[in-house]
Amino acid sequence: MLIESPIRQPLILGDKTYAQITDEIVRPIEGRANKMWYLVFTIAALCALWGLGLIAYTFGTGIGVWGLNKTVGWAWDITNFVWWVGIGHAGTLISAILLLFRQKWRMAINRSAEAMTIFAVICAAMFPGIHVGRVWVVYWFFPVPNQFGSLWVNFNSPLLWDLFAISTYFSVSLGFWYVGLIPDFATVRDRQVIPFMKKIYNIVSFGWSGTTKSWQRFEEVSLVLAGLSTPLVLSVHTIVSFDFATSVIPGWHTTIFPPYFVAGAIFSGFAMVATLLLIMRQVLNLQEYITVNHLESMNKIIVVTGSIVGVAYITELVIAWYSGVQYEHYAFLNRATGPYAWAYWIMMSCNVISPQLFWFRGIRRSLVATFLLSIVVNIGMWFERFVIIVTSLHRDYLPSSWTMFYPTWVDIGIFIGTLGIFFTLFLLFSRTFPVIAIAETKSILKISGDGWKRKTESKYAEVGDHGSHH
Amino acid sequence: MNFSLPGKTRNILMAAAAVGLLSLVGTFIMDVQYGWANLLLNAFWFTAISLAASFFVAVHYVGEGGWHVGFKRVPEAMGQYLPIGSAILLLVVLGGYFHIHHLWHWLDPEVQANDVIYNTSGKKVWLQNEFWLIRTLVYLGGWIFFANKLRALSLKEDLEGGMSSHKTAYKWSAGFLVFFAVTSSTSSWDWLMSLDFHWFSTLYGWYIFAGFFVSALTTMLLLVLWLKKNGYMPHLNQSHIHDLAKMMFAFSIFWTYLWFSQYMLIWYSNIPEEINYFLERFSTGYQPWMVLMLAINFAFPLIVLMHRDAKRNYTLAFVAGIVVLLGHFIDMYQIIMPGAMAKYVPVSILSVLAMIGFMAIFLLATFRALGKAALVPKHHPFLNESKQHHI
Repeated sequence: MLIESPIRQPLILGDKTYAQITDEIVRPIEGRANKMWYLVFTIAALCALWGLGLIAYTFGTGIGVWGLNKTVGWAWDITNFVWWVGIGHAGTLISAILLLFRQKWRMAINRSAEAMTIFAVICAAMFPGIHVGRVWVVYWFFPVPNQFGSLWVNFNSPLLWDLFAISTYFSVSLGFWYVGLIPDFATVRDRQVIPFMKKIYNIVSFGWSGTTKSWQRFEEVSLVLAGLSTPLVLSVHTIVSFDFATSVIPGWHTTIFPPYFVAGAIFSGFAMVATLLLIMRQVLNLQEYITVNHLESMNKIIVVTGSIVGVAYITELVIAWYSGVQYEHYAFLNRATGPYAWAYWIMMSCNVISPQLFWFRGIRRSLVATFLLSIVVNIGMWFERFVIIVTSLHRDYLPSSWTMFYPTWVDIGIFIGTLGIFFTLFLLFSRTFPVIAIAETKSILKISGDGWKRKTESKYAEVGDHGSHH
Repeated sequence: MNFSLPGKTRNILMAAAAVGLLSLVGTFIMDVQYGWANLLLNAFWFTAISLAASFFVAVHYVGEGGWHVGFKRVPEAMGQYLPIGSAILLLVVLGGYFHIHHLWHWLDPEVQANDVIYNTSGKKVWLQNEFWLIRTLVYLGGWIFFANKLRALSLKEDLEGGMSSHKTAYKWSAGFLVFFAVTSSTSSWDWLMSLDFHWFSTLYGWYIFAGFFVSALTTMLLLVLWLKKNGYMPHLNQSHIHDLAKMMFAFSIFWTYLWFSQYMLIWYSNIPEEINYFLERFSTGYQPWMVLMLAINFAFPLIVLMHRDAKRNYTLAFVAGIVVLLGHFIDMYQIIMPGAMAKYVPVSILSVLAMIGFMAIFLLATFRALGKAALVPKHHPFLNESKQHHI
């Protein structure tokens, strides 16, 4: 597109030049971190260490230190797993699907959203690993030849499909993210004054030379990876939903699970991106790149996906009632009015009701409201998984085995530990990587930068007449 | 530039409509139940295509899309078929309500008196005759209202310019999307899922939506290509066609994703109440049609439309579009017939001809609406973006 309609909001504020963009995005990682960064980093790292310590404790003592019991065979661990995987989805959605829909506002946020994806998937992947208890034979997850162990994997199990899905997703996301970073690393390299750092950035940018041929190959690879990522966004949470929906457990076995899990994942992922970006733009002074318009677009996605999730909740309720299956009936009655009703209503109010506030333009564009609601959504989506998993298990087909699940301090500690790991990694990322895609942002400066928009406003009316000729 | 339907095309469409209506009569002569089932199929499918075209317009208002403005009048005109389609659909629903036919077996008073599942589940309330009829009226009335509102605002913008019509349309579109989000699912339960009224699936509504949305996108692509070939759309370039074909491709895959999710979960769990639905389709004469339908709706677009050049080739895109539409016709056939007929009835020539007849009526209505306004919106704020659309 040559010139965009003047009614579109600018995406880069402050009359930037190309040099300024480079400077303002790279500078934060060249200087020293401020006290605030060290403080937050210390807290996050301590939480991470605490979590790792509790994981070691779990390995040493056994899974009995968790709150699981015979009826509720998995709860906290799988809740955390699904929650973290879901959060990861926003990065891939932004980098692949928003790319296909040519949403220019993605440029400011894709880098950090993709980083978030990778860190979230790392946190998620820990849970299946540690819940096996005997971590030293964790390679039995994989279809390794029988000589290595006594068991061959069960290819009929969605849990195995999940393993493949998550590892593919992780690899492609990492590859996509890294490829995008190559020219930006070269930009950072070119500004380095310390020879050692220059060398490091040269290695990580694969000696990027910026020739036309390099750019052409770069774009080709990016396109192929975007093509691969698009089905991956759908497939990963679809297969996570299969973990539940292939079973014959009331409340789990429902056909709407695949698309509804994907929508929920994008919903929670965008909420987490909003939380992180609101802090990052303030700390790194990026308000002119991550503008209120960006946040408003994200809030629109949050209200749409939140409503899709809401429609799915209601569909499940209505069809359970319509179906006449008494077990389904009871599963939903138990969710809404049973001993875990408090969790159900937290889920309903955080996921379905509160995001509806984003229908109001004022709330959509308010930084404080966005920040608060993004956290509310993250809480709600954690409870969604908890509700689905625990309420369907704790009162199963056999009333004599009905019981409750309560997390232990180890359960809670490990979850806090993964939050610590996530934030530690993200804080390290924000100190060493260009947090906004420099090259991509530059590509929209002359279309969506506010200075250029002012200059071209009058031309927009004319350009249509020429535009039709090429 | 204004559009006027060439006389020759009009005559062909009129003839097709006449042949189609005769064929429909033929299906009634074959078997009255089959006739009604065919009427339901065409009434639903083309109403849904018309609805989805209005949905497309609304999504682009809300999502601030600009690329489509050059051909926006096409989905708008498709939306103008809604009252006609709704009237035919209402006729079928009233036919059931007044016990002229029992396509929906639960409408049979004997079933309502004796069927255990009907009487021990929410179906007794949800599938209550008057409640069901009122819902039908609400869906159809609501859709016509929103589609007409968006159309009227678009025409008003042509006359008045400025931003006010656009801003108002933006708000009405948001309202439409909310209404659509609920009613697209519930209407498919009411008119289609309840044909097999013992059966249920939470994904059903979204699966039906995906099917009629692909059909609408494909119809839109075909219409745009036809208009372009006849010299009406010189401002559209290969990028527009590429994007439309891309949407046809993407939503074909999306449809497959939902079809497969529903099928796989039911097949894997193998619960008698649920698997019955697929046994009716895969263990009967319908099996080859199911396989053909999956091949056309998934494998065909995947192989043929994957490549960039294929989507930019007008002839190929046109042929592919026709094939995809046929695939979704078979999909509609297997959605309706096993439940409505309660036995195997192969896809018949009469059935295909009846569909072509309804297509002709749909096209006549669309072309009529297309001729009533400028072919390109005059003052749409994204018009020039669409003219320079380049990918």
